[in-house]
Amino acid sequence: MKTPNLNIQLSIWQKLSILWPYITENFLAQLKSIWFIVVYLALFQVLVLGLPIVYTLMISVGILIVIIGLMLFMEGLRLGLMPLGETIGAILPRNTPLWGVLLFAFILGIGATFAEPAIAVLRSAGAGVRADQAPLLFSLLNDFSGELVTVVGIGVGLAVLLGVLRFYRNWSLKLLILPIVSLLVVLSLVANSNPQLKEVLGLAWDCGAVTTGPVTVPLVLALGIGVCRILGDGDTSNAGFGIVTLASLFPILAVLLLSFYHYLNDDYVGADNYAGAYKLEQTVPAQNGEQAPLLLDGGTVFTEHEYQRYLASGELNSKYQVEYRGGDTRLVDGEIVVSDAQIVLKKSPSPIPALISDDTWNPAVEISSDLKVSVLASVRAIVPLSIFLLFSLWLILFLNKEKLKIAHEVIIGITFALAGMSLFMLGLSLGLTPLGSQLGGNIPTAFANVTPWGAEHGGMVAAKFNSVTGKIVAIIFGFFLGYGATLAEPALNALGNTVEKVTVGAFRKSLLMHSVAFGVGLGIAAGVTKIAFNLPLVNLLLPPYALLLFLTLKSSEEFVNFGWDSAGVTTGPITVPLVLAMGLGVGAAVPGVSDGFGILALASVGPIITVLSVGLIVARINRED
Amino acid sequence: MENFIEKSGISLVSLIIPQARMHYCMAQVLEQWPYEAIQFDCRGTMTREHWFQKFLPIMNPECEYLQFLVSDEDLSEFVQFCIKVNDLHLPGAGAIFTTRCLNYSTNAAEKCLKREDDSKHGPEHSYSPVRLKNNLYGIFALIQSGRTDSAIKAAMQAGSHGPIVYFVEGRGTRDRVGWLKITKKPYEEVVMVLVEDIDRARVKDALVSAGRVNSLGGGIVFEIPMEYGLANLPTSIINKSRLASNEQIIAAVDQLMGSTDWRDTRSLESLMEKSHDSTGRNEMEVSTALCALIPRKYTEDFLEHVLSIGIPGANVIYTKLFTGEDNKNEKQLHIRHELVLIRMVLPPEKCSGYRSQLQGFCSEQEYTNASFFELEVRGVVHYRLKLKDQGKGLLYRGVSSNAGDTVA
Repeated sequence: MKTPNLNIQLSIWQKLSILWPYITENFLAQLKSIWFIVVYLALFQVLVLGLPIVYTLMISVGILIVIIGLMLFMEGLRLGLMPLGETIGAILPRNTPLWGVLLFAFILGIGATFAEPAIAVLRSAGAGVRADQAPLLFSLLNDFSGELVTVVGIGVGLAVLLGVLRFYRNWSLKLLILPIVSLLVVLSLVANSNPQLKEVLGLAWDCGAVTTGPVTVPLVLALGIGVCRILGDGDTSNAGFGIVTLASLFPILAVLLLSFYHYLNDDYVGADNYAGAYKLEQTVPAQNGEQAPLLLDGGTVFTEHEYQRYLASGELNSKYQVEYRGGDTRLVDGEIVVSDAQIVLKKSPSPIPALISDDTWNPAVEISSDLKVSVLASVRAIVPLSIFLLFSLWLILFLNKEKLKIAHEVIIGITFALAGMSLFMLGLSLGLTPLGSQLGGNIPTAFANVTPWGAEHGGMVAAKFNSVTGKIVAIIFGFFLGYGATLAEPALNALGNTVEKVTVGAFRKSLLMHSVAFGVGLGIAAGVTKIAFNLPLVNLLLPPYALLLFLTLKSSEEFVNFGWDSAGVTTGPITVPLVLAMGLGVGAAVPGVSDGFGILALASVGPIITVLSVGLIVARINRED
Repeated sequence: MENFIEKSGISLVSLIIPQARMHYCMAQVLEQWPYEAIQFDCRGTMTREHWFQKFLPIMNPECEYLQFLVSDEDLSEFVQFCIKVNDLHLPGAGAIFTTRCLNYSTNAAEKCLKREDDSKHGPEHSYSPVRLKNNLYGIFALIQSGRTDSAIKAAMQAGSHGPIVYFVEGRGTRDRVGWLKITKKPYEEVVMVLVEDIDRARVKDALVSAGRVNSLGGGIVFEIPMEYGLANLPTSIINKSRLASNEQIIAAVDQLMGSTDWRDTRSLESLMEKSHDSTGRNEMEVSTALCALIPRKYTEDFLEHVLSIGIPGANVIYTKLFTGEDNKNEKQLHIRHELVLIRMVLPPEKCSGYRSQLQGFCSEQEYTNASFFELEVRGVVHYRLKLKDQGKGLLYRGVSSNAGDTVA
């Protein structure tokens, strides 16, 4: 039978009148998720730190682009990627033998890891790692980076496989988490007792946090929901969750095992069997000894250049203090006279907002090349996965002699996701990242004398508070940074939507988002504490995980699923750069801290604890009823 | 190709129970009765009684909405059985209600939602039956998702139990605009309230105004009269120090007074005219809800056809089928069947025409396991366009544009 008059003819104005509310609604929704972090960062910089914002215009344009990108990307997920994932999930178990489904899951997991390369993030977190200080860590990031990615990929692949198998066998997520986490804790304790392996802990735990990105998470969630539609018990609304959790635990295990292997094999930098190109430079420690104080007090000493200028002109451009040293002090005619003393001109730390660049646009940024980079990255993240999914769908249908029929929405959705992600990443590099790294660089001014971000000729800003108060200010800042950034995270938004839809609105998106954001805030605050006071990571990581095991044991299966899944989701493209910038900034101002590892791992423990606690509170209220 | 077999004397039994009870209930019912059930998720409502509870995270309880098609000779025994299995007479246990189907037809090899298994037939009941109410109305309000909370609040203030909310997918005008259908909301919420006759008008008015149903794209509200029913839905978080919830107290007073008239405090006048009023309402604005139950994989093609033959809109609920049979396949996997329930509110005179067209389509496309049934619907309220431009303007989602009835 023909379908005669399905479509209505619309004039261009009618089309616009349909589109306009749609656009404004989605724009406002994204604005709502992102305004807090932007306003907060800007106000903190201006009001608390008292520093102007550099590159204001560029940042504003960037944030606008971020909002538009997020808007497109989220719609793309809703229209294209998630329905695609769910359809495949719902078709797979019906027509495919178990081994086929598991193979599909494994390939999907590996593909997802390569699509969203976490290694770049980890490299930047380990930017300060030096071969002499942490040779094994250095080797993993450089010599064995290929192996590292492969191992993480296999870890994620196994995780997706196990996650899908769990749906078939109806295993409880709790019973999977408890042994895996216990194993991780034990391995970490073992590693912690060894000076080489200790350095790798931060990397390993961060790997778990970063592997699951904004494309993978919604896709995997949708896949799980599809599979559970067909296989599930039907009585639990948490069906379909849990893959993300496993996908953030397995990489930790994989990285730990890899580093154990290399440690036992002795083939990292400086070890006996090392075959790589990097050499331990003997001069490094010497340089290190001189450089550290220089770096720290760069603005409080006169440079050679300034000295020459002083000799020539007799003028110093910066403020200085005059002191005297030595000499004889005597009382002469009622006056205290110091003779033969050395007069010392000491440069005093001077607030130099005047020297901070007042550019509104960073001249070094080229939009075209940034755009190219972000388009390439999003093509790489989305296109291979979509092709793989569409191909699998086609293959399954072909084997069952059915025809593949792709709805227009799916194509539009994938296009939206591509365009959205490109714009989003461009916007991040123009807007949020510069803003975040400004603050990350400036936040140490709360407790130390440092050169502010964007200062043109060096110079110092005096510490705003004394050391401990300042560090506390930085920790509080970290909390709200984590809170705000999490609310803007696209993958978490997608998870929130999914949870709300799956529970028919019983578990509100806002409740999930705010409990997760609160948890991330706490985790990041803990991470800043770790760096600011240079505490060992293990002491901060293990107690929360122990608490977590306890909470997991006590909680209902539903909240275990939601809580652990949201932890895997939290660290995405908005949080990671902001947090890393801050971690590295604070780390640079604290002597002895070399890398920014560990904050991300802490940031993913926090939300599990808060979500599980919320679950226990809800259960308690309902029991009273 | 199977032809559609018409059958009369079928009622739709809806059962709302807490999520945790579902497995037990299904096992019991399916073991004792030859019926199958479709199930979808819904949520109940929890309200806070004290201001300080605002700071506590409160989650609405998740419930299961089960529907059975039961033939009339089994009906009352079946309902009593469900009440007993689920302890529905206790406060907060759930709700059950039955609606008579006007027409019922199916092309399923076995009867839809019923197994051909006469050996199992209704257990002997050795328990005293629970008295059911026969003055219940189900008010269904399909409203935009942002407005549900205020609509629920308003309905409860007007005297209803805690409403049940479930998600539907809407089909209508937005599916006729080509690629612009991406602007469609992914789902809409249906607020369902079970009210007694006396509360009906007020609750409905409250839902209409708080849900802004009278505005463009606001949605649709209609009533389905229930034959028998019992509603004991949990609604509020009670203080430990109190022994009874508000609902229990109200129910006790109801029982003492012998009627629910005492609740209407608005005016004595409306009490006096109550009987007139209700008969007056019954006569006007009767529509028909045509429901189609087909396997999920046919959904898109079927809906496209629905829209193309001129049905203005439909709402779609994805459900899971529960059968008593152990339908594990050779790999010991429990593969679940999914059905989709499509509901279209139509003027009664057009209904049978559309139905035969849709049945024809099902036969032509060789759909199996499709069935149709009709329910009586009253008092449809939705946004009406001013009837200036007959051609285009009339089409809007969920609107039965030709009903011609006046808005209450």
